[in-house]
Amino acid sequence: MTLFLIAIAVGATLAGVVIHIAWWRLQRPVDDARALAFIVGLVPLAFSVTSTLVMSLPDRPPLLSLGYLLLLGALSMLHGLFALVYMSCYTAAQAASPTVLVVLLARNSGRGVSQAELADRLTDDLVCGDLVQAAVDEKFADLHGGRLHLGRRGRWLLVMGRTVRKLAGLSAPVG
Amino acid sequence: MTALVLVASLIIFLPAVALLHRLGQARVERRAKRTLPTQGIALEAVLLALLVMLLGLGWSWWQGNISAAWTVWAAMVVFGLGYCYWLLVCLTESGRRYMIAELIDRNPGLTPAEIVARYNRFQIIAARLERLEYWGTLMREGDRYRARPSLMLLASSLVRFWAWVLGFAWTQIFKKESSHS
Repeated sequence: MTLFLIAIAVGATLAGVVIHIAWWRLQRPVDDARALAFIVGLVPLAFSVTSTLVMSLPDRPPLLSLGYLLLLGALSMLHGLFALVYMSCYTAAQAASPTVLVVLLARNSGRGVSQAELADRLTDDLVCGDLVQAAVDEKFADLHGGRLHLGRRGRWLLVMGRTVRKLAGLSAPVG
Repeated sequence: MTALVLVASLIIFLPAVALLHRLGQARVERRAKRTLPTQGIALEAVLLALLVMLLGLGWSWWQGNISAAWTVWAAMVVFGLGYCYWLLVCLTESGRRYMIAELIDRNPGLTPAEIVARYNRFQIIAARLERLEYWGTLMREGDRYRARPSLMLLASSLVRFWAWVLGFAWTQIFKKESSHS
């Protein structure tokens, strides 16, 4: 690993984010999560790996050696975490976080905002209903005959969430 | 040897954060008065584990045991892991996707309308107002809430800006807000 390779990884991820903006501006994909994982995770990783092959890096370990595999593992981990961090920030922007909406509506209204006014402005579709459709589109839930069942990604989300809550000794979430 | 220590440190990082989080949670509950919300306790645990990890990394680099590049790499990895842990706690505490997944898992076969009936804007807004007032982001005056300058306000503005850059329609709600006032 060299600092140059880390700089390439960061640069490739930033380039991925720029492409992501252009892509979303043209037409947002239905399965955001998969498209985003591809554009800010897999493509930058492929770029970084290609760089290790085509560039003459001074202390690059020989191909097919344990050192090179370690380098690929380290790069994969870095890009995986970059993608996870960006994707988690993205969901707040994508799904109209009610916390963000409440804070900004309270700031924008000079004399403050009441709970009733917030309920009037923030429809069920905006803060919850649209998210049910998004959960189906993103495979967190399956819709069969108008009825919802947990999807593959939804199950993973629950497994991870429940594990963390159990480890940390947390009670049931509030919402 | 150093590589092994580095890998072992990364492997135990998240369990160490979870343990610190659990200890913090128990400490707050023992006091019978919540001094910090769950998200805050998780952040405390992450920052403490990060501090220890970064000091260890810095020391190893200073001693010449690991190169600058591996030190930077490991620091980025622990920052990423810590952030992901904190985010997962936030997600399970107030994330709507997580709540919807919980509802569907407990009641398979619900319709989308039934989900909205059980988890609607009134519940969501009430929970957020209580939390934001507790955090000091909102100030209550009678039945009205006003925003105070805070990190949350800055973060919310950044999220709105990013949503606008990406062209999400929900940012239009603030245009209506301007025309209202």
